[in-house]
Amino acid sequence: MPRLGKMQKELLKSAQSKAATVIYPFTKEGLNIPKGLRGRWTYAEPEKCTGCKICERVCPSGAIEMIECRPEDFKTKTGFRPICHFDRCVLCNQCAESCPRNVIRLDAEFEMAFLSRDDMVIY
Amino acid sequence: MQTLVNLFVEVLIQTFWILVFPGIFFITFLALLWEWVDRKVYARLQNRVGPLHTGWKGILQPLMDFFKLLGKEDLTPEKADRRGFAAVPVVMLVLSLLLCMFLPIVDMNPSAPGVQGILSFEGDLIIILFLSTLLAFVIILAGYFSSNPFGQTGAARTGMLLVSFEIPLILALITPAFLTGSLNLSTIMYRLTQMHPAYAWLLILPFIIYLIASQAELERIPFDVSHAETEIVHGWQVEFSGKKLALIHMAEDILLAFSAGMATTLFLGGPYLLEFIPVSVFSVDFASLAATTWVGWIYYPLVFMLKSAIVVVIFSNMRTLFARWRIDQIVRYGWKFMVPLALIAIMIVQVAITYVFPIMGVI
Amino acid sequence: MTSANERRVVIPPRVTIPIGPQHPALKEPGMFKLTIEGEYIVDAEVNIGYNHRGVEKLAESNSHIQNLYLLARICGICSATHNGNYAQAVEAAAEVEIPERAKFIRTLVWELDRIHSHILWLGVAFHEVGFDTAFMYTWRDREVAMDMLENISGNRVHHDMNTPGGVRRDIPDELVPKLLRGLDKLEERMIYYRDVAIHEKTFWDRVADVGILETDVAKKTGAVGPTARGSNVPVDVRFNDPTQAYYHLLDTGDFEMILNDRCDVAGRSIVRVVETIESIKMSRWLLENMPDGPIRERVRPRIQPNEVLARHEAPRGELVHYLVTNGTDKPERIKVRAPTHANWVSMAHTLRGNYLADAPIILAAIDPCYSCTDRVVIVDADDETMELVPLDVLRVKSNKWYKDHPRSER
Repeated sequence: MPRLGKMQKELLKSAQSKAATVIYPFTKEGLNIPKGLRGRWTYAEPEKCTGCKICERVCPSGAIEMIECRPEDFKTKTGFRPICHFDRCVLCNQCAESCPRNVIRLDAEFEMAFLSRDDMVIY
Repeated sequence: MQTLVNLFVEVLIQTFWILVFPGIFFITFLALLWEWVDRKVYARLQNRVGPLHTGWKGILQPLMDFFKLLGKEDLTPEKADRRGFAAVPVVMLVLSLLLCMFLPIVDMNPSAPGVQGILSFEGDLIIILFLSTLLAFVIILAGYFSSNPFGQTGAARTGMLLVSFEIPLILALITPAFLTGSLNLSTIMYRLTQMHPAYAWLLILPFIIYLIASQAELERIPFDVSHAETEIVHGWQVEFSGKKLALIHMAEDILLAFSAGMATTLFLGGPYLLEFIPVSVFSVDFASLAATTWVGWIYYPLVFMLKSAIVVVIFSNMRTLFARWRIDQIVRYGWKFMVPLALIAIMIVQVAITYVFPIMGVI
Repeated sequence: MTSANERRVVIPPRVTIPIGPQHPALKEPGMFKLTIEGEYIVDAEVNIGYNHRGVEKLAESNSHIQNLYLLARICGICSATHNGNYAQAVEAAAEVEIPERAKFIRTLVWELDRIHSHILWLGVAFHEVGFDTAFMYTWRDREVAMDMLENISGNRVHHDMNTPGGVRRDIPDELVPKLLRGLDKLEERMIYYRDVAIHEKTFWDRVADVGILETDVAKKTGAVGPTARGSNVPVDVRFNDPTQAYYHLLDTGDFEMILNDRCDVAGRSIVRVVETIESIKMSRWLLENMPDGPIRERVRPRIQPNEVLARHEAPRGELVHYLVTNGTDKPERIKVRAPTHANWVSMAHTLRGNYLADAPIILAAIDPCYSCTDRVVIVDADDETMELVPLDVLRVKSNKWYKDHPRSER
């Protein structure tokens, strides 16, 4: 039956218990980040990469671009390597999944705020 | 010459009273403190943390919010009544401060029995009721001056709220006056404390009615229809911004402090606490010490704050417990339950003091 | 003097109050023009189209795998439904049967999605009537469901679990006890909301006998989902036309469609809360009876010409994906009929005759999802005009466009 003040007991109970909110930017306590989190894009094992461009083709948001290998990069077979324009990335993990040699990974890092678009290009 | 100096000192002291303690500064301090208590209790009951970072456990957050709003751009809508629109926040703030001047926090006039407010005269209860009604009218005007459909709806709702909850409020406040036979706030308070403890039972029902009605007067959940955020976007406040909004918020906080203070004064025995202990050290010696020396200037405000804090916690709990009622439901419950209940409370008081108490031997 | 005996009814002036496009009661842009007399709503005009993103057109130029992610992002709350339903459509077009375990995982994610969506709705409903405490509690408890989904899929909101031919991630065995514990906690909380929170008098007064949608009107206007079930119309794709692991769920006979005959907002609330409890039970059954085996089947990227109508019971109602494939790896045409779109029709009817104060809760009661719905607005980029286009005009225009631009030329 509807009655006034039905939740009073619950209120007092929750006043005694620990707050459900976490003080996130100051501590990372209580965030419990799962193992398989899809976070920041990483070009994890460049020496395995063949430069096959599958990741570029499969990316739903056009975030991955194949550039010619720079001097400091590992020279791939085709001479191309992927970079990620992270501002376009939708964190779907399809590139990592389609990659035949597991070169690309989405890391567990989740703090992805940048001050400019140029910082968001991940090499 | 001596009289002139004396007069000057007298004026200086009175200015200090009005401006600093227990006047405007102290009231503002109380208002901000109560807002913090309110927000903190509200958050804790909702299993949140509440204000946290500004000052100790966020105690300065209300002050920071006030300063932040002062610094924001102040806009006036083109269609608004400019002068009225600008006057509303100031009038609200002045009226609410004026209301708080009547609260007996510190003994301002030691020659009279009991603790006196800065303003205290026979019949000031009537003035208080009048001013609080006037405040509601100012809110209605604020809605209409802003020329906004949301504001006007909010103003209309405030009017409905006023119609239905002003009467229970007045009836509840009249009951203590009834018991003591006075219309002076401090006399009522003083005489109530001198009365037989059995009289406290008579005050319970009016106290509950007062708590509910003042919740409506303060426009808090479940009676916050006039600035329901999800329905009419803060109603009559919708067009106010910057300094005006800061002043309005300050006025609301002061009104919260005033409502808690009125409950303390009329129903919880005012700034007396230790005096109620029936040991002569407390009830005679300490009482006269506090009433005559500087001890009272520290002791009375502290007790007053303690009791008001309890009332504020009750207010916050009520705010947490309920959903917002619709305006027609508020009016219906107001007239169906609150008004009859308030009348019955008065009847009970009358029957008790004329028939029951003499039989029981209570004077 | 003459009119002293007559009783005169003073009609307050009619005011048009806009709710939206930006309004605190609406989480997304949508416009409702309410004509009110005093506090009564005498007329309501629903005006949507502020959130059109051209998803369907964009989908025609994407491959099927890319479309999965694109369609998942139609809506944040029911992302699993769009994603899973499209995968289901593609599989049907490719005529592939997916492994049993994949079916179970897909269904589990759908049900968890429903749980978190319904709890979110409950919180929003509480918030619309100013019951912020219950709003905080529900959203706190929703985090349990969100964490479970995050553990399974690796993302809180966009789970992206499905791929043509199965699911992308397995549920490891060590995760199962954790999920079961989460479900127990959720069930305890939901029973509390069912028995206590929605029966708080101030809340109940706001939802009972408000926004009446009679059974026959609900049938006539084609309401779907909890909106229809709250009006005692037995529509639930999970039971009427089961797919995936819902067959197995129905075979147990333990689960039944939740109906309520109150026909008001309270009825819809009860349906949603009870349905959440039912969903929790379903999830538990799925976790406990999950078969072993592979989780995905290989599907060729090029899919033979086919025409598929995939249905799924999204949290908000029946979701329809109409997919035409043409032998390439891109769809010829994809049409999304989101549940909210079916529920708009009954909206004006439910609003009329109620108080202005009830408008937000009535609007919220169908659990509107504007970004799911908005499909028909034309924005001219050159002169920045915007016009809403009625369906028939749009049909003529699109026919003309497709005639001028045959697929082969593009």
